[in-house]
Amino acid sequence: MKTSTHYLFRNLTVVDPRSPHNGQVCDLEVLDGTIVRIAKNITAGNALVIDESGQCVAPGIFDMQVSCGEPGEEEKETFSSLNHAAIAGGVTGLLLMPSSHPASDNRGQIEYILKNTEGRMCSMYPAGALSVGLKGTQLAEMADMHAAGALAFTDDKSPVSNSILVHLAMQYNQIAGGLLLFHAEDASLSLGGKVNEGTVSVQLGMKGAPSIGEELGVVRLLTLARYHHARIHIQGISSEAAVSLIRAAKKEGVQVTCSTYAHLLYFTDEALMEFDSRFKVWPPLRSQSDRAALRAGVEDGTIDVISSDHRPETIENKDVEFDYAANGTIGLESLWSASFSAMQGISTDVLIERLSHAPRRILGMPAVSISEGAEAHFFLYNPDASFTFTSEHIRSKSANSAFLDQTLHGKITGTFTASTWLSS
Amino acid sequence: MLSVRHLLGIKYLLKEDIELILHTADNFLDVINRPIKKVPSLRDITVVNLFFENSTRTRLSFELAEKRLSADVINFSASSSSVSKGETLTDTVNNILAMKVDMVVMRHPKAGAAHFLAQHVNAKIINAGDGAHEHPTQALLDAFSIRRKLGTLEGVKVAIIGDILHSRVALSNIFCLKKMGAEVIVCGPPTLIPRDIESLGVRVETDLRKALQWCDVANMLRIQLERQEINYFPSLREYAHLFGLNKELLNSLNKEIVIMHPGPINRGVEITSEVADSPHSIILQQVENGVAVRMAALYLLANRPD
Repeated sequence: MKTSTHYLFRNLTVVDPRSPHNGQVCDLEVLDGTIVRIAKNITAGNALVIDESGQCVAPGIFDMQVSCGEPGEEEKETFSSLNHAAIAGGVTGLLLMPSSHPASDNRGQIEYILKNTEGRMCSMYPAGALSVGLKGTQLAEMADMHAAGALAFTDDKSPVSNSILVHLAMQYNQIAGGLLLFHAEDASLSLGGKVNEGTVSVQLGMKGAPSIGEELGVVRLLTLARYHHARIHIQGISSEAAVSLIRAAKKEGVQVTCSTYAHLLYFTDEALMEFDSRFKVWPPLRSQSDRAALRAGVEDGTIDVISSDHRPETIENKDVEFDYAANGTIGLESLWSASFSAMQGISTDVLIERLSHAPRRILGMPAVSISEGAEAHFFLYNPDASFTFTSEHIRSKSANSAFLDQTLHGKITGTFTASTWLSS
Repeated sequence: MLSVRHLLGIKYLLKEDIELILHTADNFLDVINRPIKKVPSLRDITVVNLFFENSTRTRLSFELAEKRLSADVINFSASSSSVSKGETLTDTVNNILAMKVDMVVMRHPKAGAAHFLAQHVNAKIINAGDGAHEHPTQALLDAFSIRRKLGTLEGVKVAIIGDILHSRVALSNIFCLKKMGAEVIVCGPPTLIPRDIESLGVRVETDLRKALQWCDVANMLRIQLERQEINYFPSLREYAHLFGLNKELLNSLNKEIVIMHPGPINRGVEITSEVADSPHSIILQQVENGVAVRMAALYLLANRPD
């Protein structure tokens, strides 16, 4: 970590569709955490000069779906290790899922998280549980949690199979005021399936979770949102059908936004042929046509957000027989490079929109931008550098990354946020 | 020499591997029909039979095959083990391997368990059934039995009938038969046939009579009620009515077909006693052949240089 209050970053290409300097090669002068000047050949007296000439600078990523072990499972992740993982991945803001132990379903938990995440380089914001204990039966105290600082409400990966609860949450949120986030699934159709239903599940002799389970989940959420004129965000869609349904709903005017995960854009279920539990995630990796539809959805804006669904797990929970292994991959460190690698051929402006701008806009937070006068939250990456992602790149307390040993592109070289420059 | 170090599934074998195993099994079938049934091929090799799921015939068949080859054999079953105390699979196996075991024969209720073992322990692994994934020695003995009965596998029409969804026998048989040039249809209630099964190069037929009329060999699978978390069909009565093979049905075909069953049989459900015990049935030959085929697999893996 280099400590200074005055920095000069040399010869960077600005990648920010919301910046008047987008596409230009400039120097950036940062003073006391604010971008004060963007121009060519700046001379700035005794500023600390960071010369990463030829690299790109983009606004800090906001990861909308992150799990932490703290409180309750600190052996998986703490706020401290989470912060390091985020900064290594160019992530300067994130939304914490409420699925801690105990669940964040009351003001006390929200206050605990805010107190313990204060002053970290990466800004961490709590989402509160939609239902008490994420059990899907009784609404949690949404208004009280919102007043305490919860930006959103969700039962994370629990599909809230009880439609009346979703119905009530949409009504009640008119006075609570956070953003409602949902996982779309009709769980009864999954029937214990741990992988996508398709040619791969047949070869593996495993029950498949059909993508129609997600499709029905999306239909149900869209129907209820339309009925209530409610604004909802569907997290982590994985299937072609979900993309089509949401595309049509948006056209019709339903107030829906959605995200997918970097690993769903990168892998398909063929990664599972050797029963490697690192690729066991939920929703499961799906077919090539699903992945192609997700990529198209990211490109045309049907999918607003790419998040990591960072989900730390211990070796003990992950390195066991496939069926017994926990779902999830960590993803903060690899979020940018995995997205950049999966989406080769589309404009990086689009990627920055999905990773940095859209999440903040959807959550109603101030925008970040590579613009004069803006707070300095950005990361540097080398668009031409490919690298093998290894355990050396992991800062999380857990190492359950699906991206280990993958060759990724767009290596991050450092992150500036909270008035601090941290090179990777 | 086999192209693989472990026998995890038929999916990973070449046609040449299958030919080699079947050919070797021919020789071992002669051996076990001699007055002196034992050969010293696996002397000094220790094999552990790890059974995390109930099994009678497969475990006995492996144990007999190992003993006929003069291997030292130890048996382990989950009910009598430290698994119930929460020990992980890797720890259980590594503890056993620390006692200098060369080969592991494992049955496990979960798909992929044999892969997991092969990646984590330094021994040769034979998969004796992992969930609904594979049961390679069963498929090999089925292929071996068909070939001995009909002289070839090339072009033979095999109908696999019953609970395809929960059956590792079905999956391994499909891989094996397709590699050996046989034609395969699967037949059963639509709820027990995986949606994408045709991607494996098989046809689906839900009319038992049509399936039987088409085939040379009918492999009747056991209904695996213990693997079904919901009711996939209304009743055993209706199942037996639609998919059970009885004497009248068999006699009404205008040809003779070979009847197989991997056992244990639910008599009166998928097959009646009359059929199971009829001259059409090679169910007991399958059991005998199983020992020879397992001897071949053990012998070829044990003697394969790493």
